[in-house]
Amino acid sequence: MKETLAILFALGACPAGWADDLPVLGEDEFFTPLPSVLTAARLVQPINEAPVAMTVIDRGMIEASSATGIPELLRLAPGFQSTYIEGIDAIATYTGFSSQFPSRMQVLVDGRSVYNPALNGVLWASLPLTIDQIERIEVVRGPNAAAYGSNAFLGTVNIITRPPEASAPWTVRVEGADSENFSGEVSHAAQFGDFAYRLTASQLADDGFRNKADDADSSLFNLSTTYRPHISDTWTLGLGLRDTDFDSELFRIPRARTYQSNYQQLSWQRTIDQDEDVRVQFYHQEFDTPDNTSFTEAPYGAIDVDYSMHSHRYDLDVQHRFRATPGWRISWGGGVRSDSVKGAGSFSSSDTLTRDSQRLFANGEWQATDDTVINAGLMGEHFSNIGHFLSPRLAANWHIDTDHTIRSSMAQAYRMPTFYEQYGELRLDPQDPPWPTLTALLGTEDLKPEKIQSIDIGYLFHPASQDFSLETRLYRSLITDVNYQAIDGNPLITQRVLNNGSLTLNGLEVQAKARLDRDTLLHLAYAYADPEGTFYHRITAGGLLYDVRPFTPSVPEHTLTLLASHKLPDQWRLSGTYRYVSEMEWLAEGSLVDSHGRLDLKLTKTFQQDGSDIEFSLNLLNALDERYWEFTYTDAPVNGNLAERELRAQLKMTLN
Amino acid sequence: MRFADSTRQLKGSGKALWGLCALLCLSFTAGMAHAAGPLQVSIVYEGSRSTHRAVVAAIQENTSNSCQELVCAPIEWTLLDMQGGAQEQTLAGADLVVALGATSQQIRTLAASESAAVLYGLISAADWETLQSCCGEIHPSQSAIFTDQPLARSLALTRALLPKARHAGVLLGNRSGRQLGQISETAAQIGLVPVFARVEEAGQVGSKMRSLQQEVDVWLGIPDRDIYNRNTLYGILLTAYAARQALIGYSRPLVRAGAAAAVYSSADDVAYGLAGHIRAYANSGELPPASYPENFSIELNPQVLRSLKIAVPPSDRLRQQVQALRPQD
Repeated sequence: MKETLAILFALGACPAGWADDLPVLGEDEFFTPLPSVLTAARLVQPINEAPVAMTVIDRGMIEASSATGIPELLRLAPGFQSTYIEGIDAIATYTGFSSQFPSRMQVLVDGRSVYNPALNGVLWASLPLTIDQIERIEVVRGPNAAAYGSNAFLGTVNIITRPPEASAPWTVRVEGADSENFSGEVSHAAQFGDFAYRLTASQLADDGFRNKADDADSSLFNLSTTYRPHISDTWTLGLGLRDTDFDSELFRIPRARTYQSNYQQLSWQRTIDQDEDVRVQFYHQEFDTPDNTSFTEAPYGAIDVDYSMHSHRYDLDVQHRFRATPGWRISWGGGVRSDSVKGAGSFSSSDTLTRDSQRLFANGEWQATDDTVINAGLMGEHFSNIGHFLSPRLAANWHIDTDHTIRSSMAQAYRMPTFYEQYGELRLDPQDPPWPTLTALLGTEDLKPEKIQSIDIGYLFHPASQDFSLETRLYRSLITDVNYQAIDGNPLITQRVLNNGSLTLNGLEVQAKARLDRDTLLHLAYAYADPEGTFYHRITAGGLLYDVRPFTPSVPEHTLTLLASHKLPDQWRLSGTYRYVSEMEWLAEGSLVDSHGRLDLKLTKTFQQDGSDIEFSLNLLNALDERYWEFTYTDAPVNGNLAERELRAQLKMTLN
Repeated sequence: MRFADSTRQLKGSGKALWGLCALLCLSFTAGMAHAAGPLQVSIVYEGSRSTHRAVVAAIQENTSNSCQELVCAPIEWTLLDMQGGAQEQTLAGADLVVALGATSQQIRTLAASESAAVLYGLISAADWETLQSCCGEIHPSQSAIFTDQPLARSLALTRALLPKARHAGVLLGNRSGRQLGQISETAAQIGLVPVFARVEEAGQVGSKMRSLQQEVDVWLGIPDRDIYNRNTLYGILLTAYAARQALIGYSRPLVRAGAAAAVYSSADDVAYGLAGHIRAYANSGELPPASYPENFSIELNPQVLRSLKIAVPPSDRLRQQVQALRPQD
C-alpha cells in the first residue's frame, strides 16, 4: 500500500479522452449565482395582496375569448365598455363617462404610456401591437396616479408583451371572414447567447360596418430585443410602427383618414436580487394624422376643415425598487417628459405647442402585522403652464385568514387637460366668401385638470387550496372640475371646452374566476354603477353658464361579461363569451346606445405535425344575431354602427 | 494545522500533474499512520472558489467536535490549494486525502489510485459513476459525498407542494438523458407521470417547453448545464410562468432566479457529510460508501409561489412530507 509508483501507473488506467467527460455536473451547476428572472416586477401580484382593485387578463383568457381587438379584451374586467366608433377604430372606457375619445384611463405597453396627449386618450388603431404578442393585461380599476401619474384616473391598463426568449421561433397566423375582411401576421424569434429578438409584421383589411363607408387597411411592424451581457443587467430595445388608412365618416364628413405612429423604447435594468432592481427607461413616440378635408354638404357651401395633427412624446424614467427592512418594500424614482403637438387647423397657434413635465414618486408596502399590509404612495408632478399636483394613495389589506381578505383604499388623482382641451381651435373655413370662419370647438387655456377622489372597500375570497378567486368591491368616486364642452353663445363658436361639471360615481363590482380543472375556465365580471352629476350645457357670450344637464346617462347601470371555456376530447376547445351593457350615452359626438347583449362562440382544434402546433378556430361573433348599435352619433342614429353576426376563421401555426 | 505555501501553478500542466502524483504517492506511504498518532488529512481544493473555502472550513469545524461522538483522536490538516501550486511535502504522510470538486485533472488522477484513501466532495453522483466506469472497481478506500440530490427528494417536494399535479415536464439533454429511466421509475412511485422532452441543443429549450405545455402541470428541473444556464434560463422561467406552471429546481440559485422551490444541499451540508466520513475513517480505517448528503435544505421562492397560487405547508410539515413521501432512492 505504500508503493510510491502505484499512482503513477494508475495514471495510464483511464482511457484516452476520459478526462474530457468530466465533470458531467460540476459544482457550478449548484452554487453559481444565476440571473434573477422572475423578480417582483415581473410577477403577477395575487389580487388579495394588491393595494388596488385589479383584474389580470392572462393568456388563457385571451385565447379563450373571441376578442378581435385589444379593447374588447378589456371587457373581461368589471365595468369596462368598448365599442367601435367606425371600422377598426375602437375605443374603451371604464364606468362609461366618455366621449368618442376616452381620456380618463392610462394605458401602458411594457411601461410605455400610449396615452395620446394631443387627442384625448388612446387611439388603439394606431398601436403597433397585436393580440398575439400579449402575455397578459393587468387592469387597475380606480385611480392609481400614485404609481402611474396623472391620467391614471378612472383606471389603468398595463399591457405586458411576451418576451422574445419565451416566443416561438416562427408563428404564422391568418384570419378572415371573407375577401374584404382578413388579417395576417408573421412573427419570428431567436436567441443567440446573450441576445434575443422577436420581429413581428402584420397586415389587415377590414370593410367595417356594412351600413357605413369605413373600410380600413392597416400594417404594423415591431421589433423587441433583449441583451443580457451580465447576469444582473438587461437591455431592451423596442421599435414599432403602424400605418392605418381609413375610409371615414367621422363627424359625419366622408373622407379618408390616416394614422401613422412609431415608437422607440430603450431600457436598462440592473437586478441586484429578487427584491431590488434599478431601471432606466427612455422612449419616444410619434403620431401623425394628416386629415385635411372639405365638407361639401354644409349649408354655407363648401367648408375646409383641417383635422391634421402631429405629436411627439419623449419620456425618461428612473425607478429603484428595494426592500428597506424585512417588513418594508419601497419603490421610488422620477422622470421627465416632453409632449409636443402641431396642428395648424386644430389649434389656436400654427406653431408647435409643447408641455414639459417632471415627476417624483414613492410607493411603500409595509407588512404591519402578520395579517395586515399597508400600502402608501405619492406622486408629485409639475406640468408647464398648468402647475404642481400631488396624487396620494393609501390602502390596507387585512387577511382575515388564509382565504379571506378585506381591502380598503383611498386615492386622489388628476387628469391633465389635453392640448386639444387647452389650445383647441377647430376652424371651419368656408371656401366661398363672405361667410366667416366658424370655430367648431374652442379650448380654454387656463383649464383646470379634472380631479378624482375615490374610496373603496373590497372583500376577496382567495382559497389557497383551489384555483378560484372572488372579489367584490364597493366604491365611491367624486370627480370635480370635469372638462367638458358647452354650446357657446357666440354665434361663431359652436362648442367651448370648460370646467363645467362634476360627477359622483357609486358602484359595486364582482369578479370571479375559477379553473375547475385543467380543462375548464370560468370568468365573471359584473359592475353596477349609480352615478350622480351634472354639467352646464350652454355658456353665454358673456361667460354665464346655464342649462344644467345630467351626466348620468353616460354611465351604464349594469355591465356584465361571462367567459366560459372547456377543453373537449381530441384537442377541441369550446369557448363562449357573453357581454351585456345597459343603456349608455356616449358623450360629445356620441349618442345614446340601447342596452344590448351579445354572445360570441369560439371552437378551436389544435393538433401537432412535424414539431409544429397548428390551431384552427372558428369564431362566431354575435352568434344570436342581436341587432344593436355599437356606437351612434349625435342626433343621427342612421349613422350608427350596426352590429351583425359574423363568422371568422383563423389558422395559426407555431413552428417549434 | 499546516497550510500549503503554494507558489507554482500546477493546473493544466502535465509536469504539475506528475508532480501531484508524486505527492500523492508520498502520502500513501504514510498508510494508517493515524493508528499511532494524529490522523493526517490533506484537503485538495481550489482556493479561488468560495464554495471550496466554505466546505474546508465547515469540515474542520464539524470534525473538531468529533469527541462528542466516537473519535477523540486529533486530526492534523494539510490544505493544498491546487490553484496556487503545491510543494511535494504537503501530501507526504497523509492518511486520507479529501478532494473537492471534479473539475481538475488532479482529482481525476486521484480516482485512478489503487492505494489511496480518497474522499471526494463537491462531486455529483453522475461524475462518481463516470469515475467508476472509467477506472473499474473503485478502491474500497475511495468514497464521496455528492453535491446533487437524490431524485426522490425533488419529486417528493413536487408532490408536497402540488398534490394535484399529475404530469411533470422534464427537459433532458445529452448530459442528463441517461436519467430518463430512473426518473420514470421514481416518479411513478409517488404518482407522477413524467413527460420528457429531449433537448439536443440550447436553442430548442423554449420550443420543447411550448410543445409540452398543454400536457404538464409542473416542470421538474434536472441539472444539466446545456439546458439550465444563464442564457436559457430566461426562456425557461418566462415560458413556464406565462403558462402559470411552476418549475421545481435543484439548487438555491435556481430558486432565486425564479424557480418555485428546490431541495438542495448547501456547502455546510456537504461538509457535514464529509466530516462524517472522515470520522468513520478515523474509527475504522475504512470509508463508508459514497452517498448523497444526509442533510438537505428546502429553498422556497415565496413570491413565485404566491403568484402561482401554490399553498405552502408550514416548513416543518413540508420537510416531514419530503422525507415521508420519498420513494426509494
